[in-house]
Amino acid sequence: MKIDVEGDTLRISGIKELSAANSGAFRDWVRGNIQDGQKNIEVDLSQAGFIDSSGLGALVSLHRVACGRKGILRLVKPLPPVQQILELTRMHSIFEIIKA
Amino acid sequence: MPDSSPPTQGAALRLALACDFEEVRRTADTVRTFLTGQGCSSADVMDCDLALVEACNNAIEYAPAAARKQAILLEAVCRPEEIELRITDHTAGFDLPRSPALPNPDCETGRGLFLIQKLMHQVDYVRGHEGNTLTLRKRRAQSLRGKVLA
Repeated sequence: MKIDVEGDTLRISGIKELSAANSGAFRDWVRGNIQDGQKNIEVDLSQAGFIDSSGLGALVSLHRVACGRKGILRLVKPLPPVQQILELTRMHSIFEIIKA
Repeated sequence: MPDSSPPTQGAALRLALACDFEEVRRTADTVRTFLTGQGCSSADVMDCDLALVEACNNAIEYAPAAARKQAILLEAVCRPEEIELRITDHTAGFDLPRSPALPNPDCETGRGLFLIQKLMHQVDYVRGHEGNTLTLRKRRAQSLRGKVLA
């Protein structure tokens, strides 16, 4: 996974999956890298083929971090299986999603 | 080359899963390969994959320290009309809600059982002295995800 900064946005890319095995570490890694002045978190899901409820929990955590900074969590290009889980759990109405 | 024709009597796969989150996806991959080899649709396989992962995660998450050396037992049975997944855990067990509700959107946990119920046609949980068994059934060739999204 990779983190880039652009202005007030922290961008995370290269995610292959978000599951119970890695979601806690992912959440802590992103939270540990956000700096003062960064309020938005952008998560590129274009390579993520799988997400479970633990992965959703990590995204909720990052959403709360962004909201606490008066910013937003943005999910970029989720693949169809991930988009379906977001819709099934109605999280698509909570997160900003940029579709492919 | 795997035989992709549906079984007439049903085919079964039995696996033991170590009580470790790192092992869940690999084990689920084995079940996914089995179901695909039995001719299940990709939509059915994906639904079963996620439901199985959620069930295994719960079995690991709630296993007491004394039970962590015991394997979680998985059985996948593929019949012409349905897929059945059985997960035997060594937790204290829980009361399966009839229809689990989604948690508050700000909650980081609590969506696993909801997903399982949405993806499967029938979910049962039986407590026992040698372990508790969660049984998930899905009628084949139909995606509940597709129904939800329609």
